[in-house]
Formats: sequence, C-alpha cells, structure tokens
Amino acid sequence: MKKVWSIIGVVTTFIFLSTVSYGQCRSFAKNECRPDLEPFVHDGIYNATELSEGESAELYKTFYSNQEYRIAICGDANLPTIKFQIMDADRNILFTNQDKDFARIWDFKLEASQQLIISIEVQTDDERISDTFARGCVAVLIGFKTD
Amino acid sequence: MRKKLFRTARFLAVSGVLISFMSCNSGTNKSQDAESAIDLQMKQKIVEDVKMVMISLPSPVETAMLLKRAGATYNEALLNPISNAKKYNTDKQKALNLGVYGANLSYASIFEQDAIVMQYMNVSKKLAIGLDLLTAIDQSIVDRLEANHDDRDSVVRIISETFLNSNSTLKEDNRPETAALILAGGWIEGLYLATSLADSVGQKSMITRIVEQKLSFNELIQLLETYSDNKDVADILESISPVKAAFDNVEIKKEKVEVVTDVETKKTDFKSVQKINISQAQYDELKSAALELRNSIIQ
Repeated sequence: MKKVWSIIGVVTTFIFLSTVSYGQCRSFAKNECRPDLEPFVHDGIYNATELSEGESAELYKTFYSNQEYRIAICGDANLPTIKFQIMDADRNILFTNQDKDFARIWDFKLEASQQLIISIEVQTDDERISDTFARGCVAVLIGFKTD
Repeated sequence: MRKKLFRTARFLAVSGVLISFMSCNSGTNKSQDAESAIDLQMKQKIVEDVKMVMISLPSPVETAMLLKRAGATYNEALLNPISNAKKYNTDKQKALNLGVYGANLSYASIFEQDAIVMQYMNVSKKLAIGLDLLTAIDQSIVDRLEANHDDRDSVVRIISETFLNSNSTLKEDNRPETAALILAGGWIEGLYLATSLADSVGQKSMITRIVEQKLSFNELIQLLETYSDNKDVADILESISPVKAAFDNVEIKKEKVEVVTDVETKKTDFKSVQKINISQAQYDELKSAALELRNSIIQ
C-alpha cells in the first residue's frame, strides 16, 4: 500500500512538473550557454528545451565540410550530467561524451558535409534521496569559426 | 532504484496516450500474461521513444561565411531593395522577408559592407516590430552595431544575437510557425544568392556548396512539415516543390566516416569523402527554381 502511494506521489509530481512552464530557457541559453562557445561565433539558432531526468532530445543539423564547429551542451544547475552522442544520418554513433567525463563542450571538423544527429539525454541521479525528479532547461548551441 | 521508479512514473504519466495500444481480453490466463508482457514491453518502448526533436537550419551568417570561402563575390544588386519593405503587410510576408533581409544583412556583413549592414539592420528592425518582436532588434543592438561597424567579427556576433533573439522569442511565445517562416525566408535567400553568383558547374567550390544545400533543404522540409497545419507554412511548402524537384535530380554520395579524436584538445575530426554529381542542365534547373521562388517572396 505504501508503495502504491509512493508511485501515485511520483506520478502526480511528474505530471505537475511537466505542466509547469519555466519560460527561462531563453535567458539560460543566451546568458549561461552561449559564452561557452567563445571564441567560436554562435550560429544564432536557438535549440533549447525543458527536460527531466531520464528524458532525451535530438537535434538534426547539416554540418559543412572544412568548417570548424563547437558544440556546447548546457543544463540547469539542478540537473544531473547530460550524455550526448553524435550520430550520422543512419544513426551510427560517431562520438559520445560518456567516455570523456561527460564533457559539455567539444570541437568538430568534417571532411565531407553531412547531416548529423545530436542526441542528448539527462542522466538519472541514483544517489538523490528525494522521490521528485529534477527538471530544467537544456540547451544545445553550435558555434563556428569565422577566420 | 530511482531510475526504475522514474521509468514507472513516466510510463504511468503517458499511459493515457497509450490507451489505444491496450489489447482486448481473450484466451487463458497464461496467454493473457504473455500478452500483458508484450503490451508492457511495447508501451515501455513507446515511452522511451517519446523524445523532443529539434531541427536546426544553417543560419544565414554561416551560409554567407561558407559562400565567401568558396569564392563568392559581393554583388549589391542581388539584395532585396529596402524600399520593398513597405509592401509587406501580412505576417507571412513580414516573416519570410525578415528572413530574406537577415540573409542580405549577413551577406553584406561578411563582405564588410558597413553602410549596407546598417540599412538592412534598420529595415529588419521595422519588420521585426511588425511581427511583435520588439526585443529581437532593439535600439541597443543598433547602437552596438554602429559602435562596432569596423570590426567584422563583432558585427557578425551582433547579427547572430539578433537571430537568437528572434527565434527564441517566437518559440517561447508559442509562435514556432513564424520562426519557421523566418528561417525558410533566410534559407531561400541564401540559395538564391549562391546560385546567382555561380553560372557554370565548372565553378567547383561554389557548386559543391550549392549542391550541399540539398542536405539542409531536407531539414527545411522537415521543419515546415511540422507546422503544415498552418496555411502560410503549407503555402510555402507548396511553393518550394520546384526546388525539391531540382534537388531530387542531384546526387551526393559519401563514404563511411572515420573518426579521429584528440582528447587533449577536445577535438574530433570526421574523415570521409563525398562525391557530387550534377550536370549543367540540372544546375540551370535548380538556379531557375531558386530565382522564381525567391522572386515570389520579395514581390
């Protein structure tokens, strides 16, 4: 019975948090994440959303040959680490930050232009005692070199 | 444990959406159990597959930069005259042409055309105000642009900031269709500028960049299809079909990617070879389709 109430509590919290609009992602992306791209120039495209622990999102973008790019993945301070993977259009994994200490910033260069899929997933925090799930903004910003 | 609990909660939270997947009762207890297990697996798979998808088109600044590196030159006669702005009365016209002027602004900035940059920033500001995007290009941005007009890098960064301001404001104001139209206008103008600056398939660097737009064109279609319930977006989707037909004839082949990562510098190279096949006739068709589409937007 105790378990049932626990699950009901968790579900209620999840639904509540899912419907709350934070509306803060824009300033988060602009003020907290964009500076991480320096000295690259942000491409000006806003890719940010609210995610909870365990949730994921994907970004589809064409990257061009012989252009240096920087990817910055930023999450609200209350979120656990964010795993990101880069896949080709056939979903073959080309890169993951999982074996690179969950690095948030990485630089890339392509010899041939192609569409890549950037998959992000907010990890779950198994050590947290509370039954509520952290939720917050996650931004994926892309910069390129101008010289 | 938390992960398991989370998955359970998420599963239950979306169970309403999944109700249609529930099977009818039938057969023995054993078969019911088996069906339940399959149902559970199916539902969990669906829950895991529910994820946010974002489509990111190349920004006009990025496109202009790529074209310059490919050997493009500056030709002011190609820009949409600022005098046309007064003709744009509907939200659709304003949004598409805000994208067009944004591309013109980016093109001029990459070629360090200070006076043109200021003129096109001001006309963009007027269209942005017309779309209730008061904060996208405010006076402080215009002032910063004036103060930094002789520093190309600063100018490019300020322009990039205006794009971020406009598409983030529109998305947070729940107007993603307008954001998509602005991006579409910018993308179409980029293709028009590029094809106007190259006549022969012999101009290899430029032609390569133009043909590569087929990749982001697919993303443009994907983005517009997301909002195809909106009439303005549906109209544009129909208008771009000749460009789609032209791109469909063009072939881009690529080989398997070899990944080389340097953990020290936090840098990865994706090494592969690509081959592009386009005839002069196919290019002429693409160029003509781009011109016609762009002119239908700015008229």
